[in-house]
Amino acid sequence: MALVIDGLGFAYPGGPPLFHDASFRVEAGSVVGITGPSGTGKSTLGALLAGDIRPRLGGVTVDGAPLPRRAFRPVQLIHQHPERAVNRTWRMSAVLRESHAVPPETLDRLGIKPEWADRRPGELSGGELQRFCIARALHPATRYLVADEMTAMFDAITQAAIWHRLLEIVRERGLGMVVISHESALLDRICDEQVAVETLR
Amino acid sequence: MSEPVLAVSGLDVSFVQYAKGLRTRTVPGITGLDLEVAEGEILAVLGASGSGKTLLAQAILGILPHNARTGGEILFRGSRLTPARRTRVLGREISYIPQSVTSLDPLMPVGAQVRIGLDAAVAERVRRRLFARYDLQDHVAGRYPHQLSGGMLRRVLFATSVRDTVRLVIADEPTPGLHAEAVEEVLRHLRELAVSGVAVLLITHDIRAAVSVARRVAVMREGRLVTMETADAFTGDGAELRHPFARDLWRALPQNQFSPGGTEWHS
Repeated sequence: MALVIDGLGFAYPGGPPLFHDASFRVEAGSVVGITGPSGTGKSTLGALLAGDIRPRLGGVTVDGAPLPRRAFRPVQLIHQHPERAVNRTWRMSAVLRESHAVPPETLDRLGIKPEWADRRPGELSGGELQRFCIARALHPATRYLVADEMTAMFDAITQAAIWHRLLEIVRERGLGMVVISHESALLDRICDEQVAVETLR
Repeated sequence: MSEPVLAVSGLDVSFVQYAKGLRTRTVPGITGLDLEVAEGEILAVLGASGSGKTLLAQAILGILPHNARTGGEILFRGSRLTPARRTRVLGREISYIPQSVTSLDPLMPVGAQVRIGLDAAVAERVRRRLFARYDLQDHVAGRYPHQLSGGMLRRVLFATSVRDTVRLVIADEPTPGLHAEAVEEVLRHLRELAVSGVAVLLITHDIRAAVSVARRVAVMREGRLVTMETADAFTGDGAELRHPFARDLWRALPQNQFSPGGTEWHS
């Protein structure tokens, strides 16, 4: 059981190839960190793993099956900027429902207050909004999570609290996780293994 | 001791919101905030999102949302920052380095953006000097923001904000999402400004960035300044920090205890 990319090639239109022949594997139940300076393809790799963009060569398989194109994707991406990941005109209850009926217990564990459900994204702070994006990604069919600078905008206490609770849920469900971050101390803390994106070219 | 460049006393910011129908309620943003920044000093204001630290910047710059009400006093070089005075000093004596590189105009070459607000006769010469200072090659001046890397855009932002006449720089979250070398570069530029006598107000939630450049660190929480710490006290297990909230923040860092409140966490 693993999230696997094999012989993956990708370039943005008109740009030089970002990946030639990249292979990479995340076992279910493990946490893998991706490191590298800005502009070296970390976020692109995250989007490829989650199926948000399609590789030119090679492919992504999830527990042996190719990543579905039109059905629910078992690899869920959590972005650095939650305000860009939600519909700004919806109330938060609708933002959650777009994914699934998130159990109240999950909301509680992620520190989401019931009264926030009636608000719209503009009426929440970035940290509050990000908790909804995490809750939404924890669909029952989710097998892997990709967290792209997920807590870069949080203060230290909130960052620690969110990671503790999310990793608890990840462990309970046996999910695999890819963590993209500039913060090496964070990766040292939470990852079983770290991969430099430059080595994947 | 000389007069502080910026002195904020008893600053209150609140928001009037419509609750239901025509009934309004007042939501506090900042309550009773006092702080001073001296010439050549970097003061870090540390706080979570929602702690009111960006409101402080907006209150100084006079760019609070329309439904905001303010109280208290903001003195710049000894006299009140009235709307009329702001129009004279903003961009000349007080400059603002915004959080996001999306503040640049996507449709204007970056060289022209650096020339904004400069006296036409010397603008191009000053632009060249600023480019040299921030390690930007001359031919970059003709490029548009989308043609530059994130690191270059950061340097362009500095070049648009820094003027010879500037006495106070307000930098709002200049470091998140940058890799270590880029963070170091931003901090080096702030240090250079302070060495040249500018007062710098660094607004951030990045404790390590705050502690590495500032001598004093103001910690905000829920609109109040809860403690003023010296940067040196952020060391070891944080026992030298005066306030428990400052200790909790320090101990929550992944390289320390990574604890959301008190105890060490094990993965």
